[in-house]
Amino acid sequence: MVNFVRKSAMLLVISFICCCQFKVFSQKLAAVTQPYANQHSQVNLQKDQDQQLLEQTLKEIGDQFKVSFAFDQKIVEQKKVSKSVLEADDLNQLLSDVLVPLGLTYKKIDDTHYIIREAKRTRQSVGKIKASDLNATRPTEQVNKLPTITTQPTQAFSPLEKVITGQVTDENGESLPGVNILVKNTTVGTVSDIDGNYRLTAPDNAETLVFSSVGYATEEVAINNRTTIDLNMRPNVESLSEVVVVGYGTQKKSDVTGSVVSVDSEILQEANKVNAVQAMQGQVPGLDIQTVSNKPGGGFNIRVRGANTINFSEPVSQGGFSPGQNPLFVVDGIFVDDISFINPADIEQIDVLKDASATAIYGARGSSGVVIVTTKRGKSGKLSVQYDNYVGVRQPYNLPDIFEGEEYVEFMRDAVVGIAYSTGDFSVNREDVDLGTFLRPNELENIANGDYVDWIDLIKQNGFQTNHTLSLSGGNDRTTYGFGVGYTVDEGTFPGESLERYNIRANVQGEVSDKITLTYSGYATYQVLNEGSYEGFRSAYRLRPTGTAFDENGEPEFWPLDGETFITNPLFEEDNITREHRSLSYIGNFGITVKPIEGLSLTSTFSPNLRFNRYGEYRGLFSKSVGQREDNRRAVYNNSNNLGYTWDNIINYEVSLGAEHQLNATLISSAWVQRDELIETQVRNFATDEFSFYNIDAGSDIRTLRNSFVQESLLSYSARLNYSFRSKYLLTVTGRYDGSSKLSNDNKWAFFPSAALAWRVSDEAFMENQSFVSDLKLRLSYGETGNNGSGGGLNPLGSQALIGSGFTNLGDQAVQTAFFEARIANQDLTWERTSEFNLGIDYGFLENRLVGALELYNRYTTDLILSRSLPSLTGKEFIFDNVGEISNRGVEFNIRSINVDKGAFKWTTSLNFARNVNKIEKLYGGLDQLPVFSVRDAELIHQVGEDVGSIYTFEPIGIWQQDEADEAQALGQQPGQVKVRDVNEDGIITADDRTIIGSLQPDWTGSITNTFNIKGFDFTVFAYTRQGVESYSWFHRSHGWDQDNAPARFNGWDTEYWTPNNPTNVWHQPGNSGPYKRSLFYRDVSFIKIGYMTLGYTLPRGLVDRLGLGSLRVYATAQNPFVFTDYEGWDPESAGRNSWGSAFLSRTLMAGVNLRF
Amino acid sequence: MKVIYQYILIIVGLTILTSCEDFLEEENRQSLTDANAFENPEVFDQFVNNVYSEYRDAFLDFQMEYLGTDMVTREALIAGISELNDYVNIATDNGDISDYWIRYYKVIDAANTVTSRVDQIAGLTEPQQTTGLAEAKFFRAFAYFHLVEHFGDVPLIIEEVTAADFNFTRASEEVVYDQIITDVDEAIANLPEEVEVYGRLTKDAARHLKSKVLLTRGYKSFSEDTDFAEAASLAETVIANHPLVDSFSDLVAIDNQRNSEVVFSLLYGADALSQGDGNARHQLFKFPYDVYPGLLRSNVYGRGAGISLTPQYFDLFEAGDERESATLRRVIYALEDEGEIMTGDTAVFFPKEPWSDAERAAVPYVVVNEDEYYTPDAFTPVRYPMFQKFDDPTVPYGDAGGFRDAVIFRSGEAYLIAAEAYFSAGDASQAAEYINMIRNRAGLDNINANAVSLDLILNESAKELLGEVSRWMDLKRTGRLIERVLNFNPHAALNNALEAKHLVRPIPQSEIDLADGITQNDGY
Repeated sequence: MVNFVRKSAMLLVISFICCCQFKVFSQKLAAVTQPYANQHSQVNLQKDQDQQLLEQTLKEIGDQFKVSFAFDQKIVEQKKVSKSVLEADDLNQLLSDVLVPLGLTYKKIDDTHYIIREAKRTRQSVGKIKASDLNATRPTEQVNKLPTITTQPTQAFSPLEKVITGQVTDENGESLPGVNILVKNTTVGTVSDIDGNYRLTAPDNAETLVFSSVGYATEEVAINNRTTIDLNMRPNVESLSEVVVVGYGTQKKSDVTGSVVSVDSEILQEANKVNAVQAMQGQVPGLDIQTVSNKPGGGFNIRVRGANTINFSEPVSQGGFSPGQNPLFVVDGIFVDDISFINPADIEQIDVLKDASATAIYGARGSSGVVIVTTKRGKSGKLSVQYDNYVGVRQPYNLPDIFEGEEYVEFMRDAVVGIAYSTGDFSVNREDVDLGTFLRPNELENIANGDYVDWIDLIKQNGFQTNHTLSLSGGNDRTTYGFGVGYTVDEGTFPGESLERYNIRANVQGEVSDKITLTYSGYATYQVLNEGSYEGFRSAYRLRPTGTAFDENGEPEFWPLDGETFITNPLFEEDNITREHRSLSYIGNFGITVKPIEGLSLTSTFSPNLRFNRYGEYRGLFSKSVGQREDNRRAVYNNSNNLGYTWDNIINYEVSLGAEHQLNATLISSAWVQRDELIETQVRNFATDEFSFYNIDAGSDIRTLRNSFVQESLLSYSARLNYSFRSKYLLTVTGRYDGSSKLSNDNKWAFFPSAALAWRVSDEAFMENQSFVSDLKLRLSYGETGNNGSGGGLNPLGSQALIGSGFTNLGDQAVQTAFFEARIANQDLTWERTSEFNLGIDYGFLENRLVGALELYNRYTTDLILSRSLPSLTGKEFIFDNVGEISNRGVEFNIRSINVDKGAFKWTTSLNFARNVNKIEKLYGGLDQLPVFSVRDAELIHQVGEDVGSIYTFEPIGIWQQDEADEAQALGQQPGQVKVRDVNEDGIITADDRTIIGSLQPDWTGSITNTFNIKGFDFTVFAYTRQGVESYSWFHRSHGWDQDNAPARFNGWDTEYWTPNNPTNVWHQPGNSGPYKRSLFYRDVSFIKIGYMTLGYTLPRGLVDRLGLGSLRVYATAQNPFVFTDYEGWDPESAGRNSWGSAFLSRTLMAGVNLRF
Repeated sequence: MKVIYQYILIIVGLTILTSCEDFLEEENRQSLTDANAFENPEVFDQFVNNVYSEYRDAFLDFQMEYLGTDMVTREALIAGISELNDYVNIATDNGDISDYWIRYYKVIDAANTVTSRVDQIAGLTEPQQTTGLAEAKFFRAFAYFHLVEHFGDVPLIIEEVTAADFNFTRASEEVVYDQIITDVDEAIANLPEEVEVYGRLTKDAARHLKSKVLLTRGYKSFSEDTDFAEAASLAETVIANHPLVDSFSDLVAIDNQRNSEVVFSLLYGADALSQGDGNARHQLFKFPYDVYPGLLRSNVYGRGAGISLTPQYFDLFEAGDERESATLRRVIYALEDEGEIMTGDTAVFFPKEPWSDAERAAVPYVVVNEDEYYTPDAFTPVRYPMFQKFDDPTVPYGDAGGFRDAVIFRSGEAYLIAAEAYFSAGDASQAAEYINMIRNRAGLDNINANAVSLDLILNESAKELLGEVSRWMDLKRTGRLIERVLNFNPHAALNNALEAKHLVRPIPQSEIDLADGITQNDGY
């Protein structure tokens, strides 16, 4: 019975940890040692308390007997010692008295070192540490925490012996206590003390020392007659004991049954991006991240395992169509729309839940994957201060070729000829072209003087980038705290674009009693984002190089082309355009956990999510859109507040039934509310630019004045059962019952179940006698999830027939109008539902030098919601309807290997690969395809058997040549024009000749990271790729020569083009593109990018000590330094973005420090 | 153990709290729904008002009514190709064409909402209901009239669509005309004789519409014998009730917008709340004049909408035609000092008779002879005497949202309808009489009956009404579209692509894709 109570006490601790979703436990062993001489033999204890903490007791015993103890923090936590037992004078007796009642025992390592561990032992052999044994949460396995230490210290006193001393430090150069140091092939060993120091008496013939510690890669070091051996230990390439956040709880990775990938803070730090999403790019197989804007604060399309929703979605403004929708983001237990408000340096870990069994706990929100972000928490121990920074410049590169100087004039001649050709007049020669007819007086003058403008050069700039993050953490066994402040600046490559971000975070966790723990965390961000001009970038690419940038006084000319009042000088944009977002975001989490009995914990967390955003836009007199017209000066002032909360109540019960059965049951009720208010104003006609957008009542022309209010809510009841038999056979069953406000009363609720099995093959007896496979786990799962996101077309008020109102003028009065809105209500709309099978293999070979996972999945989504366009003749526009089925099948693979590990030199490689095959399986009414739709000019189609939103257009097959004139003219075309395939071979080109020419979804994605460590230096190169992906290209659309009927009105792309004397098939004749020009705008946008290259140097221990620091690393990083692609525009990732509002592809060169005190 | 139960009780209690029944109820503060709106009879009036509003949006589609006609062309060099103006490669997904379709079907939907919901709305008075229905049906008829002329057979929808429906077929032109006449007859019967609230429909507006509809049907294979006669008779009623304004310049004066001649106008005003998109007619037929010395972008002349007049238009006017000076601006005065030109001086001049090089060299301002209108100079590719009859100098430059009333029907047109109806019915002398009344008002002499022809009537209409009524529909109705466009529109003539199939526009591709039973017009 006593035993049961003790075990239950442990479970209580564990369940607390599991339930709070906090990754609170350190995997490191803690050691307590404080030897000092001539101590009185009386244990000096406080008399005013009956009990004190075991840890404190051990410290005092250590002080008294000049010995140190090593133990896993976990096993001493919460344990208390009655002072009545502290009577013995003999150390062994004293330890027995203290430890045995607590189910613990001790082992003497040498005269001054003892190890404390749990009393029970398993059958497993000494000497082989298996990751699965390094279990932080199962009391039955705690005993193996320190199995390598000999119980026979006698050999240490062999006459032929040598003494080796040294210090062990961690990856940050901090002292590492509790490291086991063993003479290879013997049982002689010791443990490092709290300062990481050790002293080992080894046999004289000892050649090699083995250093091992939980969470760190075991290292073998040759002694080579040295007496001092310092070692800098590195974390395990993939620590199998790491903790994975699985939603409403955590699990050891070894116990996970679904497909979950963690990205830890080190990777985020290594990548050093302004936005955490960017840092995740390429890090998780099956997580495809596409940067859709290169402006500061730009957004991303994020897809987990392809597109499993069909609805028109353009989640990132102006970014073009991207099938599918972003995953659900959960930050510290709170649902958020995106995570750009978080300073990546504040993130402890990101967990990506991919398969439906993993995401089923999020039920109706889980079908597009879940990304769980855990911010840094306080850790117990003395105050730890960390400061990280970087400073760098963003530099535009990979600029497309456009006509420069005289090239443009030649191009214009060809364009004039082209216009004649377009009318069937082949008699015009380029020599006949009278430039004076087409060019402005100042242009003719500039040409005569050889005075040309490179507009791109005039506007591009190097942007400044910096980040400073200060983090504090500390606490004791009852209370821990963590605080942090951060400041980030990211300037764009066009003047006026900038992002400034301020972060403050705080978290406290405290036990108010044995049974009650309170937690609070808060994360606040204030951000100022100025998007700057949308026009300037495009204007620079459109303006003819023959224009005039500066007048005779050196002042910029507003209209660079005399008499042409269309495009203005982009140099005015910076001072005349403001597009400023100021936002204040706060997410908080107030939690209480009660543990009434062993194994049971009750947790309630209330998590507010507040966001205030102000958007101010001002277009001054000299902006392009105002064009010096006072009455056109424009101020926009929008205010929104988005207030929401998540309230979770979690009951967790963990119990062991006998030694072999482990059961963990979780019940969750969750309520989520999101409430959005918005007011939008736009006023024009200001007498001055002085007010910017801060005095809109000074303008006389009110254009917009409207507000809106939307609220949605979700109510959920979920349950999860984890069962483990002999720690080898694992079962997870979950179910979630979700109700959404957005569906009609008949369809509000749905149930989403899942089940997963895992088998730890490597723990089987038959695997014991081999050393090749160090870890092997098979996983099989099935789950069902839903889609409650707007990408799935579930919108508030969608089940109601809404009546809008407006005004018209009758009798010179404003009279009110009423109308049914263009969306037809659908009462029958139901949840989009995804079911998925996942087969996973986690493996580790050769003492885990080679670790990774292989995943195969088959995901099937039914009841797809689509905004089905209605024929316009109905007067309505669309209805949200359940229209079809999609499948996503794929394979994901990752491997991390230690290629070389020779003490001072280490080379590791990490490889990711993912391939997803997306297919529309079925459409309503047995249709083979839905009508062609167009997003940002791209023509797309949903067709059975093809990718969602495949590109559907004419297939270009070259240019009509002069000897084909008759054939071309029979089709209404002329030589020099784009020629397209007559797909149905009926002799004419009609809409029926359109065909699918590609997909916006990549065939495969992958990445490779190579890290080299040489002494204190670390060097990492990260490359990622998206292959087999097509996109509509706005570079070609806007700068592959707009407008045929005004010859070369704009400057444009310098490419090989058709002329009567150059019968190329690359690009059409200028001025004569013909009706199928746009078929040329679809380009292959596959690429390989180097994500970053980082060179770091960690200062040696001694120097750092002299400086009085904990550790210091200096580094230099080149972010996105290179791109390899056939795409001719700026950036293959954001090809679908209009150059109006676009930005250069840029690289950032930065340097910084990571400093700890 | 009791403690445990307490804890469990607390958690269960919290859980129940969060499952309050109304937690998942939606709160809608943005809009009414059909569940709560119909208790209030004012909703009916608002539905009716919305039909006016939708028509006001549809009316703004100038491209389809003017481009590619004998009098209006694109504002570009005489080179290249274009779909709407030159009739080259008109794509089935042409944006202007599908916008036109969408906008008029929105008018129809708004009207159908009135007719379909009238019985559900509580507390309607009899006159409220009768007048409202008549107004809705007038607009439904008017919208179908536009659609049937531009597209030929069109789907005939006279009930509000409230559920997803994809099965539609095109009704024959004849059936559509029958519906138009049914609707317009009800409008004539139930609309008030006198305007009660300025801007609302009267019987005369409906008569005017019907006269135009019958005149149009009169040329068709399914015409009825009485069509021309009835058209003339309806037009005469309108004429009787709406005497001509004495002079044309008074008629178009900005301070005399609500004159006796107006039958029906759309109102805008400067109040942003009720102005809608505004009346953009002030942008019609203006070139970018601001690039010339002494000129700048100014609301005095306003900005052009990018469509311009054909050279033919300037040759229409006889000497002494008051409409010429009231309509066209042959002198543009300087708005700023530049070089020798002082503010208020002539900056650009378009002489009626060409000036010699010597004459031109003698003046500081730019003189543009008629043969140079479409030859680029150093400033613009195109320049010509701009329109001034719609000028609205209070509107900010470049702003399409003008404040003037948009006259939809005036008796000036009724005279020409009557003339054409009589002429087509074989009574040239009656036709000449109505034409002469219009000519006399413009200060011109009479013509005699044997001079009357459809071309003459169309020319008269261009001088009197260009920019006010659909030129494209006038040309199509009279069967003169192809010949006159190829003769007078320089861009269309260059490409010479206009043919019989172009007498109807292509049905928007998206409609064919979306609706199950809709076929394309021949040749597209």
